[in-house]
Amino acid sequence: MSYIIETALELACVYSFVTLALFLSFRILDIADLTTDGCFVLGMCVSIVCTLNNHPLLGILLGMASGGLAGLVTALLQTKLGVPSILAGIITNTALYTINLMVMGFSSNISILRNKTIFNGNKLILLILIVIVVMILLRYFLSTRLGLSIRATGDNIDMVAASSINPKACILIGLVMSNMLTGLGGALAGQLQKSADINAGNGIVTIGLATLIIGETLINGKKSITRNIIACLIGNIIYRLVYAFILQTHIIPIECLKLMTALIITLAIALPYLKDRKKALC
Amino acid sequence: MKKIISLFFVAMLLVTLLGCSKKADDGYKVAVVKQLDHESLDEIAKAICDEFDVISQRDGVSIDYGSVYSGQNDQSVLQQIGSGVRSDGVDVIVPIATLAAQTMTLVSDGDIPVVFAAISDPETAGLTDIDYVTGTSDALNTKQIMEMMFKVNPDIKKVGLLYSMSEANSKKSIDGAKAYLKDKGVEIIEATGNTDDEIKQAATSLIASKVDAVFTPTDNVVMASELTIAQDFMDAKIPHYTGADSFVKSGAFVTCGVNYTELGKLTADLAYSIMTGGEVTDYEVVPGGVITVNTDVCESLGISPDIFLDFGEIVEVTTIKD
Repeated sequence: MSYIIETALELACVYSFVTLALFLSFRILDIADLTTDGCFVLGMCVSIVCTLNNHPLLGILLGMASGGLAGLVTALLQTKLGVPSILAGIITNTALYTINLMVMGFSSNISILRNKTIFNGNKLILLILIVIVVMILLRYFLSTRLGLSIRATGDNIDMVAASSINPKACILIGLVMSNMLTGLGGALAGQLQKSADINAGNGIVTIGLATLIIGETLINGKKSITRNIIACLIGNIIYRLVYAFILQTHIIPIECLKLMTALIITLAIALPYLKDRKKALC
Repeated sequence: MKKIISLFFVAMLLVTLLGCSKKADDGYKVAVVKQLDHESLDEIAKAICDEFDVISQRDGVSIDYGSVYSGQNDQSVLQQIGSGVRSDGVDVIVPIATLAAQTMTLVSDGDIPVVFAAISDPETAGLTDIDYVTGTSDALNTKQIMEMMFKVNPDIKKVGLLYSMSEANSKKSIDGAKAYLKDKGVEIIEATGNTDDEIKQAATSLIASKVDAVFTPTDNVVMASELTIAQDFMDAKIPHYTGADSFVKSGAFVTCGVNYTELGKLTADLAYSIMTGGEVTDYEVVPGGVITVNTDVCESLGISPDIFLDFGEIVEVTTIKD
């Protein structure tokens, strides 16, 4: 029994990096960055290929760095070539499909079932440690001068430009950081699941957004940055527990999982709105 | 904050309670997990469940296979399904397709035997030499299908290879086909795609190159587009040789591929023998001795299905009409 919860929590930790990444791009920078799906798989492939060559730790670091590179491409498309932000993400994401195949030596699936990964002892404790460290670092960063500039860019780009801060540089750094987080998530997911698959990133961005919004709604995350960062993890834990619950009880036919995901997201978004309206009516 | 904590505990409690309520009774419990919803995988899953029913009738045992899980092609969902069935205390997990098998092997971690179904290349997938993992392979007999191609038309000059880059399944057969065709001095034209529309374009490019025949291995991406591209090939009078009978039912010309119902049956038998204490042996390759021919296509190409009599048992099908 504890095993189900353990798996749910492990997955929650790994995918909370994607949520943190979306928090940074979607909430802080106010950019819909669709690089996520491909970037997640990129981190995964790099991490798995390194693990295959017996460098699991290096795999995590390089996976994270490669994610940052993908973010750099998206950012450059936006800032240097004038590609609209959603398209820039889609373009990078499309290109990454081929890049990911290349990383895996043009094979669509690599398994490392027999290799050692960074998860030697208790996987969950290690994952929780990494998540907490990353969350603290991110919180600290957002209060630095650079972090504040990035936050300001998302809030009011004209004001930032008027304060003689370069908003394009802020967008660039923000997107690189955001995709580094996605890459890190992918790298950890790959070693946790001991395989990389070209389709592993399908729909990650949906789950990321869902968990971001679930977390925000449930603990009123938009109140402060710290709360919002914690909400990313909480959202993932709730999401995975709900999924585990559905899978165990079969209260909803297993064939309808995706519909369920859509329902959970809709509920999470609609609840605060409906609550506000009810208040206004009273 | 209080709300969250209480919500969290309620969720935990519910999951825990449900786990406890599921106590295994007498008989055996099996979990069938397919990687995604797909015609071939559905056929295998159905065959596996049917065979379990047959076995329970025959031996008077109860085999509870519950409902068939689908991972929706999402590795994290597969992992959660895996941890769930492990807690349920099933006797065997039967994953269908590569990613499902890899994930179940990882999740089981030696606690529960894993009997996979329909993996074309278990070596590359890293599923060999693990003492709790075995299963069935649908490795395609590439040489045989090439021989069939030359039997139909001994003067083939140009052969198109249509496959996707996203399928581990395809690589081995494509390499085999290339080696065979090069040996024969036939020109090879490759066309690949990763989505429905790309496959359609790839198929069109092959038709434009005036190939004499097209070969596709057990490739799920191409399979998803088969109904649309089959018509184009038929109009251009190009026979489409494929890796599985599901293609032929969707309008391809012929396959010597594995009969997935047979494969499902064999997988269920293997799983049953392991449940009842049998040893975990090496995986079994299901022989591809069944020639499935589409008579609609035969008619339009002017070829009699009997031409394949030398190759094995012939099964005639027509294109499914919705």
